[in-house]
Amino acid sequence: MGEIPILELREVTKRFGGITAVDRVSLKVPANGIIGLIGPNGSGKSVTFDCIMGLLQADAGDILLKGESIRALSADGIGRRGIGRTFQVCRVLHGMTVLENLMVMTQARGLGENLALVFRRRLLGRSDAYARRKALALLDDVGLRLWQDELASNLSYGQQKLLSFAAILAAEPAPELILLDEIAAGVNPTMVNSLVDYIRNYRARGRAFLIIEHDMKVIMNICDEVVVLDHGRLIAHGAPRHVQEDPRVIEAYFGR
Amino acid sequence: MSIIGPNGAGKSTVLRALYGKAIVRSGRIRFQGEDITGLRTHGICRRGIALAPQGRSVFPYMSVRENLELGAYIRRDRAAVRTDSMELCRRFPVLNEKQGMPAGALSGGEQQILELARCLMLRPSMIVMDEPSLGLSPRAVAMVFETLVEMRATGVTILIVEQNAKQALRISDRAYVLELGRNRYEGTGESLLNNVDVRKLYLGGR
Repeated sequence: MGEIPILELREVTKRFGGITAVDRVSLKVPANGIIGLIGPNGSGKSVTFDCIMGLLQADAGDILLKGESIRALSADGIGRRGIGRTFQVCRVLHGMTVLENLMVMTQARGLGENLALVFRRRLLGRSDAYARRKALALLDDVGLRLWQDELASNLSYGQQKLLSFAAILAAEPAPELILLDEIAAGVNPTMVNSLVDYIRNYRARGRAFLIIEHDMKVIMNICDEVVVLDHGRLIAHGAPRHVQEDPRVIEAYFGR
Repeated sequence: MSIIGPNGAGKSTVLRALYGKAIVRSGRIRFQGEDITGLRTHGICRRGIALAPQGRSVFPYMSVRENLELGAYIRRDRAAVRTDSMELCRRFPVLNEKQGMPAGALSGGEQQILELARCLMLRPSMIVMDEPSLGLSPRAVAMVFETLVEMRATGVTILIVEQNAKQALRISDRAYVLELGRNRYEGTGESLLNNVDVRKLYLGGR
């Protein structure tokens, strides 16, 4: 195949004072691949995401998007290059309804225009049949249709999680690479099955995913490969089944 | 006892009503025979009910140890408080490793463990937890549920809301399924685990 991976980390390191949160981590997300990132709490998973997205600057190593270094780019620069991300603590647009949250994403052009839309809410009053249809369909899929006119801030935690997942899917242009940070946490297991189907369908349409997860059903069902961090270091990687049986991973992560 | 159900069913709202953060418009809440409906949260704690609301509620600029000690705020027996603190650090090694660090520097999952430990510092007669396993690694989840089972064995009553429904039902004497703000199913943990509809609708059984 020889296709350039959509994302590559080379010996990425991030320190906070005396603590090395991410220690020479290297990994590749192949184009159209789904890679799982697992590890005990505090092992550096979310910090790795923050480095990829430019919220934190890596202290050493390199981060490449489709072969091009993005390590020095700012966060909005990276967002514009087609990477989407969800957060452990959800970020929904609080002053807007559930439906508006999704419609904003569909009408996305650039970060600057999105901000303008947020401040000039009347723009959304204009009938935009396509955005509305797409948003409603997504809300149906994640079980939020009943709450479409509710303020996003009034949703429960799990519902905000689902909304932020739907927002990633609503984004146009659709991001080529999506970072999911514990998308299943706090979400009802039956709904998690739907999310897994979604991810699979999305991949079939050419997207790639890097997924932080503790829910092993998700990992086993959709990941091509799994990378395991412990105390900031990569301790194992490979097919989900093999990683699950690796004694170091069992000791550090599964605790059996 | 577990409360499970789809997102937005009202599970957290029920807990918030219990500890005085949501207004109860009708109905009563009784604890050990006493009507505690509408009691303010500190009144709830003084009756020996320890609370771990959903999400992070550690004091980020205080150390892990200070957060732990705050859990025993209303206790007078200082020596026993210190012993309890040491025992919890032994049980949850991450607390031991990071006891001098500001709690805000811990990862999400580690903060969750700190909150459980903080509840236990009260030596409560009842623990109310909203999603105790949220964001925890499998190993940490096992530790949390083991701890809850041990607490139950010492006579502590435990009420949890959990999306990790299977694990919760396995250890539950009694469980309730809420949906759209209403009781949908109830029974022993085991009976709900074996209920075909419950499995399909709420437990992710395909």
